[in-house]
Formats: sequence, structure tokens, C-alpha cells
Amino acid sequence: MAGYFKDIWLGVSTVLIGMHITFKHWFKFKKAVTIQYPHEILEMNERTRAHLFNVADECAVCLQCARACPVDIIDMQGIRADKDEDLGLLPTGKPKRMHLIKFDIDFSKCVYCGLCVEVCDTKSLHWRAPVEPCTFTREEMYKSFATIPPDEVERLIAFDAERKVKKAEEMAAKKAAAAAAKAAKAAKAKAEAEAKPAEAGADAPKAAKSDVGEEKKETPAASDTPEKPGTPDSPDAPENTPKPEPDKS
Amino acid sequence: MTWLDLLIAVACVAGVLGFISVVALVAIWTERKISAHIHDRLGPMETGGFHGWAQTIADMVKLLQKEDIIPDAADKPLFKLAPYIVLSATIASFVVLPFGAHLIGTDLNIGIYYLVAISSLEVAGILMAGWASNNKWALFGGMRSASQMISFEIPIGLSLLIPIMIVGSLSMQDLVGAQAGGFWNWGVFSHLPFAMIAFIVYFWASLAEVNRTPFDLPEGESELVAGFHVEYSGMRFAMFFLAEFANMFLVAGVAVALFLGGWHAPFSFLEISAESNVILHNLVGFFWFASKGMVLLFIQQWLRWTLPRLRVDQLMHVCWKIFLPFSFVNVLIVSLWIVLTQS
Repeated sequence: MAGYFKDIWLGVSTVLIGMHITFKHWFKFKKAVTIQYPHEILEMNERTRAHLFNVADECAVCLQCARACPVDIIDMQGIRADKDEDLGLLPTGKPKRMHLIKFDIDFSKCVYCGLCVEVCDTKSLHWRAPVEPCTFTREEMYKSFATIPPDEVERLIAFDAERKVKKAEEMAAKKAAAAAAKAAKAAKAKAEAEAKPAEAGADAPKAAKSDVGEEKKETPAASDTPEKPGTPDSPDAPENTPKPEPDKS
Repeated sequence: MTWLDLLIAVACVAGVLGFISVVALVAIWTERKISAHIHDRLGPMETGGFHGWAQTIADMVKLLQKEDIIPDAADKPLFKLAPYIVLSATIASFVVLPFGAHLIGTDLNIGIYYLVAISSLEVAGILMAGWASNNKWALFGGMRSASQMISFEIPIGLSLLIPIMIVGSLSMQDLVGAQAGGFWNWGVFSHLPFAMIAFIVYFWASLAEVNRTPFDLPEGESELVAGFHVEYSGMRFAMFFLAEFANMFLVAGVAVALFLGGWHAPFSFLEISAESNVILHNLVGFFWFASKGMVLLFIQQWLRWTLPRLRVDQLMHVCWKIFLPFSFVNVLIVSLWIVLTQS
């Protein structure tokens, strides 16, 4: 019987304790845990893994990120700076040698894997706290991080093309000179050979061999012909620039 | 029956239905806000501007547009009928609720008896819904609901007997009229502490009657999905919902009428006498009745967000082993008291 009343008392008292606790929360209501999202946005850590961002001034344009990207959405282009041009130092301590004229990320395809951030040597490509990722059109998902203004980009491209033409001309001149020298040498050798009594059949293959050698030498010059203005002429840069724009726009 | 009678009847039902809808809308909104604040949340904040007051209206509009889905395997006539029975039983109970001196559908001389009887009809509706859905969870919910409502009718009836014995009438207006002249004349404070115990027992048992937490086993979201109304959608679901919240106000209204002075103010100077202005007298009475009912409604919601759900055996333990003996002893002592003091 005592247990029975004790149970009832326990029931009543614990209910009252519970009601007291909830009452305190109900009326001594200070700060809700709710965040009224569109009105107030939670302050996130500076480098929360939420959104990619590239600092153009710190980018070495090494193209590692574009290579690492499993979905090929980083569309970047660089132009080698002139020899006496000073672009400042990279965070790694080395001087910046490339103008970043294009760095576009298509966030509608991004899988947020972070591989591009991992491979970035200068840490210019990094994670950032979210800025509203939602957009009304797909075009808005296509974000550009290059800071060089368009007319400057045009100027750089023109400059680069000019430089290439010049270089190609130089190369051609060099080759011509080399060829001339070779031809002279060959002529000399021929003269010597003719002078000596030798087999007639040996002449033809020798001439053909020299022709092949000339062609081979010319191939690298042909690959960076001046028709392709945007491609920088650094050995690894030009071939790896992601596919041209037409399929993106 | 003349045209006028019919018109008055229709006006009465329309008035009750309008009141029920408004109460349900307000109660659902307060339920959301109270639950949110108890959890340190904010609850609806956007719809309608001020603290999301229009959220429930928006939900209602949404429910009106929803498709009325009837399961293939359901018992279709019963399935369609069940929400009407539940809602009409609720509306019929409101007929005898005294909102003011003249604001009462009809002052039956067996008013409270009628109310207890007609609100039992709801059990039939809920059991029907659970059975007709042809869904095991719905059937479980319906069975639990029936068992707990029938069990708790007994302590409820016995607790209501206390004020009825004290006043000596079953008419709602007689019961309210006996509590006039200040809060110390209210039913809870007569025959201390026995009427008080009766009030507490009634209030707790009424929570089980309207399937509220801690006795919301028929709906038990974590076990039964939604209990007896799991298969209902659209307006039929809205009817169950409306009936649930209207019932909350109904049991609160009965508690107010029998124990808390009905439409009388806590102090008599806060009332306007019927001789000076009948309309104002009724309106002020309505204000007091509705606000007292709302306070009890808040307590129901407060309890809901405080207590966990009981188990079925605990529920039956509370009913048969605690409420029932207390009510019986209460009735015995109060009747003895009345017999001794009246002779």
C-alpha cells in the first residue's frame, strides 16, 4: 500500500519537475537554436569545404588542377610573361612567370572531390565558406576567377602571337642557316666524294637522309605555329590547355 | 418544425463549426509555437508575416487541394463514413457547451449526460477508420483508441459526478450558474480537496479521451506511423485533425464549465450584468469561457511536449489502478459529505 502511494507521488512529482523544466524553456526563452536561413547566414570557417576559389595572383598556372579534375571542368589558360616582366612572387617563393588569362570552373559539374585543391602547389586554389551556390540559370554556375581585364587579355594574346611569330621566324632563320651550312657541308662532301673515285649508289641515300633530318628539325616549330595565339610556348603548357570554348558556351 | 427553427438550427451549427475551425487553427498554431519554444526552436516564422500566424491556414488550403485517396483494399463505405462520424460527434457535443448566459446551442436538462454520451460516439468513428483502412497499423491504432477511450470514460464519468452531486443538476447552465460570484465559488474549490482531485483526475483522463500525449498511443508516430488515420489524406484527414483539436477544446470547455466557473469571471466586478446589456453580458461571458478554455488547452500542449508516451500496460495501470479507485473514494466521500451537511 505504501508502495502504491509512493508510486503515485513519484508520478506526480516527476511530472511537475518535467513541467517546470519545459516551462523554463518556454518562457525564459533566450536564444533559439534555429537559424532563419535566408535572413541570417551562419558564420562558417574561412576554408570550410564548400566552394572552390582561386586567387589569380597566386596561381602558378601549372595546370595541375585541370589535370587532376576527374570531370574536366577547370578551363584554364596562361600566357608566359615577358623576360623582364615582374609579376611578383608566388607563395612558394618562386617568381610568378605566367599570366592567368582564363580560369573558369563549371560548378554545375563539380563533384567537390577536392583533388584540385590537394594538388595545388601554391595553395591559390582553395576551399571557401559557401556563398549562395544556387543560381537561376546554368550559365551562372560557370564561374571565372581570372582577374585580368578582357582588353589586357587581348593585348597579351596579341603580344604572345607576335612573340611566337618572331620566334618562329628566328627559328626558321636559324634552321635556314643550319640547312645552308649543312648543304654547304654536303656540297663540300659531295665535291670531295666526287673528287674521290667512289660508288655512284652511295650518293642518293645520303641526300635523302639529309632531307629527312631537315624535316624532323622543322616539326617542333610547326607545332607552335602562330595561328594558335592563346597557347603559351612553355613545353608542358600548350598541349594541356582544356578543350576550346565552343562546347562550353 | 417551422422555417425559423430550421434557420436557427443551421445558424447554430454554422456558428459551432466556425468556432471549431477558428479554435483548431489557433490551437494548431500555438501547438507548433509552444512545442518549438519548449525545444528552443522558433517554429513557423514566415507565413503571414508575424511569427507565421497564417501557417495553419496555408496548411488547410493545401489539404483542401489534395487528392482524396481511398485504398483499393479498404472497406470503402466505412472508410468514407468514419471522418464524418468523428467530426459530427464533436460538433454535436459542442451544442451543450455554455459559451455565455445565452450562448448555448440548447440547454438540455441532461446536458452533461448528453455530452458524455455523444462524445463516446467518436470511438465508433475511430474504430471504423482503423478497421476500414485495412492496414494493420491503422487497426492497431483504432483498437488502442477504443480500449483507452472506453477505459477512461469511467474515471471521467465519476469525476464529473462530483460537481453534478454538489449542484444537483445535469443542465450545463445550472452547473455554471452555481459557480457565480468570484473564483472562490468555483467547482474546484468546493468541498476541498475532493473536487480538486476530481478536477485533476478529469483533466488527466480527458487527455486520454482525446488521444493526447502522454496517452497518444492510438497515434504513436514511432510505432504506428499515424495510427487510425494513417490511410487518410486530404480533407478526410483534415476532418480527423479538426476533430482532434476541437475535442481538445471540448474537454477543456467541460472542465471549465463544471470546475472553473464556466463563463463567470474570476471576480464578479469583471462581469457586466445581464440587466444592463444582454449582448455585452454574453460577449464578456464568452471571453472568459474561451480564455479559460484556451489556458487549459495550453496546459494540454505543455504536457504534450513534456511527457513521453506511456506503454499500453502503464496506460491501463493508470486508469484502472489509480484514477478509478481515487474517483470512487472521491464520490463516496463527497456524497457522504453532502448527505451529512444537507440533512
